[in-house]
Amino acid sequence: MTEQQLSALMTAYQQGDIHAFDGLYQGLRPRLQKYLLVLTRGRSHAGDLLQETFLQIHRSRRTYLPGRPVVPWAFAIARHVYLMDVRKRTRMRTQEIVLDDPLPEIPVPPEAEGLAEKERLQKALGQLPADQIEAVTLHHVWGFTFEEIGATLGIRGVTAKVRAFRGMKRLKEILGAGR
Amino acid sequence: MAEQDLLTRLKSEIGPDLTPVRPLGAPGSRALWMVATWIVLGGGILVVGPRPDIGALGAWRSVGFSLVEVAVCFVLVVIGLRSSIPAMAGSRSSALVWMAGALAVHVLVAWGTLERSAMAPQPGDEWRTGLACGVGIAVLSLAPLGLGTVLLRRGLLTRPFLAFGLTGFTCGLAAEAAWRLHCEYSAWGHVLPFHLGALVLPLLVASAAAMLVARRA
Repeated sequence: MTEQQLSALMTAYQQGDIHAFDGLYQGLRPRLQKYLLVLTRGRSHAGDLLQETFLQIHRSRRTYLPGRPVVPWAFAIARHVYLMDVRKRTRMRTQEIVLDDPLPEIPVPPEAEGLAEKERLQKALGQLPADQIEAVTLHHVWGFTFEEIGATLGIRGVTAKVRAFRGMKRLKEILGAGR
Repeated sequence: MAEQDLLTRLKSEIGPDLTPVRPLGAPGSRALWMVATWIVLGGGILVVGPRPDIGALGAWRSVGFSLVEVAVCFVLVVIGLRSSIPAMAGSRSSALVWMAGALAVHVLVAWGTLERSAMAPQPGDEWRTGLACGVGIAVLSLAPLGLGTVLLRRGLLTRPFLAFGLTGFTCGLAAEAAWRLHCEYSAWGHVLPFHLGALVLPLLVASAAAMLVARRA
């Protein structure tokens, strides 16, 4: 689904069209799910956050400005939901943010696919700092521009570029050392 | 959770609440409400009690300088409002640079005013006049801060401390820009501690508001 289609659906949704929500759900769910998997590193946890993300999208639907790209907007909301969840868990001192769980399927940057088989790459990705994983996957998997990543994460585009570059460099080092 | 289950559950939750909403205006156009408030405050001060040396200062160094300050404040408010819209937030560092720049503009304005009119409070009266100015600026900043809070709350505050901090700081600066049209004292010993020092109160109020928002989220 293209950005233009998503934008039209979002505008219809703002006007109260429930059928537009179906389209938005179909268009955004796979991407949001993968993004939340990257953030949480836990499949079931990501499922809960996915539901909360769509509810937050609904509550914040007036913050979508017609004509602007929908995907970075939705990703920024997903990230907000994730951070709120982390804060809540930290506050409750449950510290079980599933870091010890087995790593889920982390999307593979196409550019890096030739470096090693998927499993090794996923493990290597899991060794990167969270901010680098985010930058690498947003840019190399979903094709966000660095400016879009910057706007989604609330950082400068240059910073996003540096994180993605360092992430890819570190990824190559890890994969190279593992040979 | 099966995909269809989730969709059904979501639709049942959002369905009753699915009323048409009007998208928020662009941050630049919403920030104009704040500018209008500041101009009303400044205009009111000019009508009710302009500084006695306003003639000596001239239109540019009195009203002109304040309007320059308001223009800088407008940019800060836009940055704050952008941070209440997902995927529009700028970075913390650029916001801090703008805040420092705005403060520098205020110091330059104070210097430009001092060059033409170097009045200072009577010896022994510094604290009384200073505190009166500090309280005046703090009070003037509160109404725009209330409006700013309403504008911010209409968005999604992904970074409440940045958004509220910027708005509180800006409302303090704008109140100072209005108050300098009333207060004739331009000496550094008065302006720096009591005029710019008064920014602390709106900043504290804004931080408290941000804390509340963050806790409720």
